This record gives sequence, C-alpha cells and structure tokens, in this order.
Amino acid sequence: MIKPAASSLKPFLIFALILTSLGTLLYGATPWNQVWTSALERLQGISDAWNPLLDERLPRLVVILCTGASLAVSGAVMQALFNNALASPNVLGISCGGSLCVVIVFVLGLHEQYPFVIPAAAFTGSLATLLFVYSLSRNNGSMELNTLILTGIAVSTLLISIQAATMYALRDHWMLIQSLTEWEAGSTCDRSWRHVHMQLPLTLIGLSGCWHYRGEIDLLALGEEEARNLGVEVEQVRWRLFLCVALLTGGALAAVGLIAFFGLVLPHLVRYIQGPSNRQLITLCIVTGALSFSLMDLLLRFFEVHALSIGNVSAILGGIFFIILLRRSRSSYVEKAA
Amino acid sequence: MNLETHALSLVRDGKILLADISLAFSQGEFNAILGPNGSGKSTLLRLLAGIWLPTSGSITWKGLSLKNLPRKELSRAITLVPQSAPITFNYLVEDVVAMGRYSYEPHYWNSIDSPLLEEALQAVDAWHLRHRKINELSYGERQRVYIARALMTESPIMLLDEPTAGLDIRHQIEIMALLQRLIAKGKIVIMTTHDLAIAERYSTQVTFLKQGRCLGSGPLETLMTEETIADLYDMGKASLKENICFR
Repeated sequence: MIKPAASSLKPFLIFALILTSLGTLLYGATPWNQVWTSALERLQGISDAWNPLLDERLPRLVVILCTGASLAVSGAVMQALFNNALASPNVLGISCGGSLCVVIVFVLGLHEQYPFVIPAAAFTGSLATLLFVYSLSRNNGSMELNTLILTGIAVSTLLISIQAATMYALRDHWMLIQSLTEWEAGSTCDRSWRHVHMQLPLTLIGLSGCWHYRGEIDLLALGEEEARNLGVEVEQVRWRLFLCVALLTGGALAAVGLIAFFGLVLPHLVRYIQGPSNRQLITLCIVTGALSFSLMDLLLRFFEVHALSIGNVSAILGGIFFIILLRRSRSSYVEKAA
Repeated sequence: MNLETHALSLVRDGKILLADISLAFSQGEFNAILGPNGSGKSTLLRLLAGIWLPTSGSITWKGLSLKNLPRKELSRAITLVPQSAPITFNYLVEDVVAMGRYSYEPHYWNSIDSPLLEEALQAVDAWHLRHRKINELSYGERQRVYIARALMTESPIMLLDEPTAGLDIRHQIEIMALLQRLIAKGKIVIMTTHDLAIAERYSTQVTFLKQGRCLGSGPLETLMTEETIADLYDMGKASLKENICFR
C-alpha cells in the first residue's frame, strides 16, 4: 500500500481540526447570537457577566486540544523510546503514578487552596513511575522489551490498588469521593481558565521538546546501541524526553483526568496512514491527537451522551484496539517462530 | 594513524567478556577478527565503536583517547555496521541510510535526496531498494543497506560485524571489493568473520580471540596456519585438513 506523504495529509487534517474547533466553540445550549453579543460586550468592557464562549467553550477547547495532542505525542515518543509498539503512558502505569499523586493531593485537601499543586503532583508522579518502570525493566544496561510491558502492568496494578484502597478507606467522605470519581473518569465538562493555566505551560514545553528531538526519536527507535552508534547522546536525550513525556502526561491528568489507551492507539493509526517515520509522526500526532479528541468530545456533546465521560469512551474504544493489536503482534511472533 | 587498544577489559555480571586486549589496527590493512562463537568478537567491536564502555583499559586513535570524545564526533570517526536484524518500526531504506548523516546534521532527512546517499547505495548495489521497507528485505539486502549507512558517515574507521553473513557469493565478492577500495582510500577496516576462506582471501592482518582473550594478532601469512586455526577452534588438525583448504 502506498502511503500518502505527510505533507499532503497535513492541510486536510488542519482543515478538519479548524472545523471541529469551530464546532466546539459554536455548539451549545445558548443560541450563538446571544453568546456572541454578550462576548463582544465583555470584550468591550460593557459587561462582566459570565459568557459561555469566553468562560466555558474557549477554555474547554484549549484543554481538549492540549490533551489530545499531549496523549498522542507521549504515546508515540514512548513507543519509539522503548522500542515497543505496545508502550504508552497508560499501559506502562505512568498515568496511574500521576493519578495516585493527584488523589493524595485531593485527600489532603491541598487542591482547594493551591490548585497548581495538582499539575505538580501529576508531573512528579508520572516522572517517578516512568523512572521506576524503566529502571526495573533494565537488565545489565540494556532494555528487556518483553519485561517492560509486564513491569508496566505490574506497577500500574499496584498503583491502582493503592488508589482503590485509599478511596475505599475514605468512602464515607462522599463529596471527596464524588470529585475523585469525576476526575478519574476523565471529563472535559466544566473546564475553566484555571484548567488551561494548569495544563498549557506543561503541554507547550512537552510538545516543543518532543518536536525538537523528532530526529533523535527516529534513531532511538532503532535501539539504544544503534542510536549511540550513529551519534545520539542517548542518556541525555532519553532523560529530556522522559521529562517531556511526564510534562505531557501530568498536564493531561491535571486538566482532564485519566484517559486510557488514547496515547497507545493514536500513534498506531497515524503510522497506518503515513508510515513509521517518527519525524513526521510527532507533527501528525499533535494534529490528529487534537483533532480526534475534539471530535470525540463534540460527538459526545452532540448526541448528549451524559452517562459516559470522554475518558470512558476512549478507554472502551482503545481497549478494543489494544486487544486487536495484541492479537496481531502475537500472530506475527507465530509467523517468526514458524 | 593507528587505532589502538591498551589492556582493554570488560567484565559484566562477574563474567570476563574481554581480558587485557592490546591491539593496533593500521591504515592500509584489511583487519579480520576471528574466533569461535562467544569469543568476544562483537563485544570488541562494540567497545571500539564506543557503544559499550570498557571496565578498564583505553582506546586511542591518532594518539588521543576516545573516552571523552562527544558522541557525534566519535560517530564521525568510527562507525559500526551491525549484524542486520529486523527493527521494530519498518522504516524506508532511504530513511535508514540517511540516518548515517545524523552526526553531521540532526535533521538527517535533508540528506535523502543528496548525491552522497545515491553514491552510498550504488556502492553496495542497493539503489533500487531505496523505496522499500527495511524489514521486507532479505538478510543480505539489509546488510548492504547498513553498509551504505556506514558509508554515509564518511568515518575513517569502519567496523563490520560479520559483513558477509547471509550474502550470496556475488554480493560477498562485491562487498569485499568495496572494503578493499575503502582501505585503498585510507580507511581502517576491521571486520569479524566466521568465514575462514574470506579472511584468508582478503584480510592482511588477523586477530584471534578465544574466550575473551587475544591468542595472537599479526600478518595473515605468519599467523594463519593449520596449527593456530586448530587451536583457535579446538579442532583436530586432521579434521581441519579434511574440511578446510589452506593455501
């Protein structure tokens, strides 16, 4: 199959992204004329009344775009860094580490007084888990690829259990449990500029770092030894990329909550469309991640699906894709063995 | 302009992989490293390329230690052609070859349309493979692509880990002829091989490794005898005579 060049795909994707972004801004219960008039009044300083466009839809859009791009890029980077098609922040337990730290912040009640503790905790938890999984998977200075996924699953199971135990212990504090359940489900409802402020700086730094190192990511995907052979300062670049992944994961966790499997699935879909080159993959993941996430959010709003959060939908769709991917990789191993 | 190792040793998990290796590889010589499986040939190449660090000892080139050389500079000086294995992400051949320019330009893809890339692929008879995916190639084709990538680095020292393994006889001869041309142009070429016929036909200097130790290193004519080969591979001389022809 001949893959379309990334350059021919980008304009189409950017156009689609603009359309869905406009959809996010325009679609809502309040009539657009009314929204626009009051927004103009706010901007001209005539009124300071709450406005659906400026106070709800715009921050929501920024959060959605940042989250989609962050998760897709962090998944692509981890798959290349760990030389493993099944790697992603969620599969390796990195999101669970960040999530546990955020739960601790909620339990201690720090989030009400100091909201910026949330992204700091999410980033710290994500980075600590990433380093922990990475160090456990290394043997004799080299990465054991099969061990990596198993370690990730073991660590995430442990972290989820600690989180579940914490929530069970606090089951009588129903207001706390409700806010934690909403946060864990991964929701884009009621996002405000506070969420943008928590996420945007982390996302911008993380995406810039990954894009800057897109060439190195290509070489690292050949394996550590090959990357070193070709001139990559492997330890330095890997450490910086770990920081970027933790920033992206932490930002998404802080603003939206847990979004499972999105980071695993998106890079595979993009590779399927345009081929495996990471230098194009990073750019395309930024656009397609933002596009897919905003489209998913818009569809949920349009069809008024209130029972499910965007995190639930992503987990269900991604889980199905993950099973398909596992079956495909298993059959390819069988072919190799034969 | 020698590449030299001084008392090079590598210990991992308490196991001695290489012990006290002191060698000199000169320009104008075709260096072959011979030894049975597990003797430390590939390990020695990894140390020479700076991919692994030795436990003790040093490597010098032009009298300077390679230890503290920045990675890109080291890559421009020494490049390793690994044994070709499939990779996780199925890149195009032209991408893989262009990656050889990374040490000069991080945006290596700018070299995809360069004359250098065409020259490198033509040199290994792989120009027609440039739009193919790397994992779809045969072992031998991949081997040639990796040699083309090493040519892109323009490094004066080329290390090759069993470069003729998996190649048909025509491509074996072509690759060996290419390596001879590179040596004539002043490159230091060091290859490991299990093929005694190739080593005897093309190399001028041989190094024998066994269980991580150097049994000998020197000119092919004086070192490669029935006795040394029988000793190296733990074979009886009779069995060696029956199966291998020496000059």
